[in-house]
Amino acid sequence: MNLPRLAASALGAVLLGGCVPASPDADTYDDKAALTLGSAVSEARTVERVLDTLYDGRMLRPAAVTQLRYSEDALDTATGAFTELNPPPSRDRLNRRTTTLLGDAGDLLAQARIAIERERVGDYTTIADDLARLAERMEKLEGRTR
Amino acid sequence: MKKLFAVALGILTAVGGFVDIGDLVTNATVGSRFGMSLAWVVVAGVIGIVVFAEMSGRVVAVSGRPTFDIVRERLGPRVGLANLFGSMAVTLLTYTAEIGGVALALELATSVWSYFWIPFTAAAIWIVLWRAKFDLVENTFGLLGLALVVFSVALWHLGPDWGDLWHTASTAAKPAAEPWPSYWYYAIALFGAAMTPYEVFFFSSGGVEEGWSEKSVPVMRSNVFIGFPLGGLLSLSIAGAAAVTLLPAGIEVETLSQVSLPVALALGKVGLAVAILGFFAATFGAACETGLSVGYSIAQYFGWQWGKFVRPRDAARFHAVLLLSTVTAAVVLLTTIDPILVTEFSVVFSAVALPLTYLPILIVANDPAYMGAHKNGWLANTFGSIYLVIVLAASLAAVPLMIWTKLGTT
Repeated sequence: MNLPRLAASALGAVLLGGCVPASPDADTYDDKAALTLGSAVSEARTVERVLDTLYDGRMLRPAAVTQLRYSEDALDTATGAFTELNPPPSRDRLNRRTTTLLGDAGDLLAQARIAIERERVGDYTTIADDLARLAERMEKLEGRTR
Repeated sequence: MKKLFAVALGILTAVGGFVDIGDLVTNATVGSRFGMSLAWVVVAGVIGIVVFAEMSGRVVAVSGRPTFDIVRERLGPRVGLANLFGSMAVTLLTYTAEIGGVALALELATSVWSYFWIPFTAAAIWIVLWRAKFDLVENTFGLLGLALVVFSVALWHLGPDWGDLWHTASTAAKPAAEPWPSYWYYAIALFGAAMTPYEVFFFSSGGVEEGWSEKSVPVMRSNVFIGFPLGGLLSLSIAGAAAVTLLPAGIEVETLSQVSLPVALALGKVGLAVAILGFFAATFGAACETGLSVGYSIAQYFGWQWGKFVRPRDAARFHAVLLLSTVTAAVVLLTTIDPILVTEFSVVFSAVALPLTYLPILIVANDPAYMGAHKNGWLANTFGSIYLVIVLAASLAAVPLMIWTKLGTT
């Protein structure tokens, strides 16, 4: 094969590779799961603190709304990057548990956003407690996966 | 009394103007991931910027000309052009990050999407650069930037275990879970944030704007030797507040609102409002400085009339560059690129471009033809040479580490 054809083939492979979901090996998949769970823990704990401080009257509402928006975006991005991976068969259980926890985190962040939007102050502590428990579960799974 | 006031004002504006979006984000990120284990980098960065800003200020005070005007004359147009390209690209990137930082601060204050604020922010900065007097820009935003002292108050109020913080800082003991490549990547980012090239561009050209002479050297030195280290303490406070509140919770800083979270936790609404004011002032002030730095460098290289000490119509090309760079920065941000990501790139590429800025200063500051009796002494040369080695090492390692660690995420 001459050089231009080789270069074209390599470029094609790279471009095509970018359009196909990745199928990582088990170790890489574990790393990705741990990284995604770490990001989710970060967002859950951030929103938990935002709700706590908002409940205590120590947080400005615009700042809380802004943080909620960013946390939801960050979680969506992390979740999307993880769920588009093809898990190795040996990691089906990890895949199920991680995606369930990420889904729960997404639901709670959405609940937090709605509660703040509607100024349902009574819900803040409940959602914050739920987020704290969820963050703990995600942290445990992250620890086991690393 | 008037001189004392000038010294005090200079020191205060140096403190308030020391922190910009790069310092805010990088220090908080490092504090939330590595605790105080990278505090030594802030100290090293502050000493480095003090060494080179003093040299640069002395060159201006003695020669009455900005440093890079002399660089082109002393080292020739080719070296000058390489310097211009490298430093300009980084300064424009930093300008973009600062404008994004102002928009993020306004978003925090209003909850209105940051991209909405970008055109207004860019227009406001351009109007200030066009119309406002140099002293007014420097002093107003420098003094308002002192609002960031709220991070030191917050850290104090949080009542941390000072012994533990000191132990982590003095032993550089990183958290076990963090890999060494990421540790060194953030060390370079922190170094780049403390020693951004635009600071020297602005400092030296600002000296010409303010008409420095040999008599100004003591005042310039007091600003540098007192103001910059106090500014460094602000940086350490931001990292410390994040280390105390965010690190134990597993929160990694990715947004400006997470940077401010420790202040809200410690001081509530009032503290948070002061922090947001500080964000706004620090980023707006730095945006003006970086914007001017872009104009200064290009106009000085091509020998155009420049500066705010002449009317805009007398420095039309200089003001055209300011307008063009402001529009470019705004357009880049309006592609909806994350301003925090731009900030991360700007601090890393600052580290890459550092030798282009600092080697010429060292050469000019040693040239008796320009400096006469004020050329570098042994102390300035010792520190200058040590830092040149450090700056070269950081420059060479920055991009490989950025790729290896995927921007510090692994």
